[in-house]
Amino acid sequence: MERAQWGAVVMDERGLLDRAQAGNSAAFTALFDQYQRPIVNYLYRMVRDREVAEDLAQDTFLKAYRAIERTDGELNFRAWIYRIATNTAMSYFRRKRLVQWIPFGPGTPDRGKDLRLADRIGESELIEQALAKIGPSHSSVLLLRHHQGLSINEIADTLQIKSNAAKVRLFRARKAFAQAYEVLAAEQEHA
Amino acid sequence: MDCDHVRQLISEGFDRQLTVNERALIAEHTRGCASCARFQHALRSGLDGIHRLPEIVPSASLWERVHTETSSSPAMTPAGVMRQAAGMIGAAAVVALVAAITIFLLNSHSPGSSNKQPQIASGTLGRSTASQTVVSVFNKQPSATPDETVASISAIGTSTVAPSTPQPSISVASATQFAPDAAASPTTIDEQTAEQTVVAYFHAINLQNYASAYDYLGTSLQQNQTFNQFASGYTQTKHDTVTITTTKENHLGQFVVTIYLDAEQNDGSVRHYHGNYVVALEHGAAKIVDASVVWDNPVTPTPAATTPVAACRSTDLSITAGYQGATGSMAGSIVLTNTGTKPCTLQGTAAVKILDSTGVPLQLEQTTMSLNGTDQPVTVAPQGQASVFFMWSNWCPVGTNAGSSARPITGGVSFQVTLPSEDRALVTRSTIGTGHNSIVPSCEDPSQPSTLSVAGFEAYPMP
Repeated sequence: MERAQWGAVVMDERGLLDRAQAGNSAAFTALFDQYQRPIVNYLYRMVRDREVAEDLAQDTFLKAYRAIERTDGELNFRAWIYRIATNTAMSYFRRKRLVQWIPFGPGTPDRGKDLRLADRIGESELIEQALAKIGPSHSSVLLLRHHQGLSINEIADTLQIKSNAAKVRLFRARKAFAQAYEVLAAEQEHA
Repeated sequence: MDCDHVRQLISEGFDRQLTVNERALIAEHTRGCASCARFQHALRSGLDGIHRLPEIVPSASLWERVHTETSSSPAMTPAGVMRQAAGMIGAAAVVALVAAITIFLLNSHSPGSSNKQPQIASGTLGRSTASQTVVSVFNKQPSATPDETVASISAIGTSTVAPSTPQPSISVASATQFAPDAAASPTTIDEQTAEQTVVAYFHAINLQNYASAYDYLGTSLQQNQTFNQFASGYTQTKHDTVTITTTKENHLGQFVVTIYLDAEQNDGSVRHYHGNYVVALEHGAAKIVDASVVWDNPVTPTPAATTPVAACRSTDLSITAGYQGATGSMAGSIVLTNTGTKPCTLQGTAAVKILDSTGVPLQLEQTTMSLNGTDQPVTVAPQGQASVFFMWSNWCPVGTNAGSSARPITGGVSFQVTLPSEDRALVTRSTIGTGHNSIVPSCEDPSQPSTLSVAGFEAYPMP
């Protein structure tokens, strides 16, 4: 336990991470406490099922627990735990064969019955539907940036790509999302 | 500029502050491109919607599931295990500590009953209201020494969130959390483990992870209060800052962690506490088994500031302005500075006029431009600033042909701003221009009026 001269206990994340990397399970517990809520919410917005989200969160933290001692001292824990969560979610989608590109726009067959529900759905549902439309690859980057508040560099770290590539991914995701949102909102308005 | 480039700029506007020129380019383009205007609107509304998606609270069972799994799946290297044998216990001990703290807060005396003397009361776990002196005592074990009053536990701090989850089953299960195998289960704890337990307890409290916090409490403390009672007690504390001063082992082999604590309340006041937390091994895990904490400074809660921020008055504002050429138009900002002594708010769209050097308004038609899609009030701190973005287009005085530019306005121009709720106008002190002559927008269509598109108030500089 680190102490300043006057006896204060240092509880910053870096200190917790250092101790967790050294095998201190209490420190890992503290990190888990700190991140369980954002990770569960991130996964929930990805998979739209609370039970599945908590299962995936459990997998995420267990993977982190088993690997943390092998990480280096410069680890950005926030980006790292989101990376594990993202990969865990993607694996889930692959297992469920849910990864698919869903075309949308005037005349596409997908604008069917679910969109006619638009008049009964609220703003949150509209957002969730638009996120679902664009697929997990796009929705993950949007959620990391605009729901979880990660910076461009943190997203790059999370996705293990360069910062410029993260910007490109973000722009493509935003374009897809804006198009989906526009179509759904129009449907809601005219339904 | 093509649509894709404009959309990329619109997108980048969510990650960085765009330059005046870039904003002018977007405004100019979206004025004539309905598709990009819809893109801008959809992106702004949609991304704002993502930001505002409601959050869910993880169930208490997630914590238990993770800890149960880790207890049965070795993760640490043998060296790590040995190094952390005591630390593993620490996690459980943290849980116990949380409960102990809560207990303290539950039972209380009325505030103001004493301004000098620490107060100790007996009671059960949990915490009540901010107006109560939050101290309770549990006589469970004899004190190791006279000055180590180890028989009480205090809960300091409260929260606004009370998990609705059922009381988690704790105790023995947590004793093995993170322990790779039974052989590694600790049989003793040390000073470091005791301190980690206390730190983790407060950490959980600050994160409002009450299930975790509750799990750090020993069995006897949990028996004094259900989880729901424990969690519901945290209604007034915003944040606890704990400082450990000493840790000593008593004659029972327990560790007495002496702390002082600053508990920031939701009303902004800070309560100071000091006391001891007792950490001991219970069913193979470090737990907070007892505590005694006293409130040092019972004070009358500071009334919350309820005075709403008033609208800015022109008498408390000064303005400056500047503009530059942008794709044939002139784009710029008027910056308003709060010269008063109190914060104030600006909302809506100001009436803006451009005056020539004699103070006569130019013949312009003001239109409203939407930049942020919302009309939220902007709060301006004393000496803080807000801005108004504008674009001036199509300046065609008599004799100017389409596609050409009129002569600069001799003597420069100044800007006049009238707040939405006032009649009194503010005028920039100095005229704007180079060599006392102001540049003007190009003439696009002499048959159409010159327009001044004005956006709503924005924070300046932009966050």
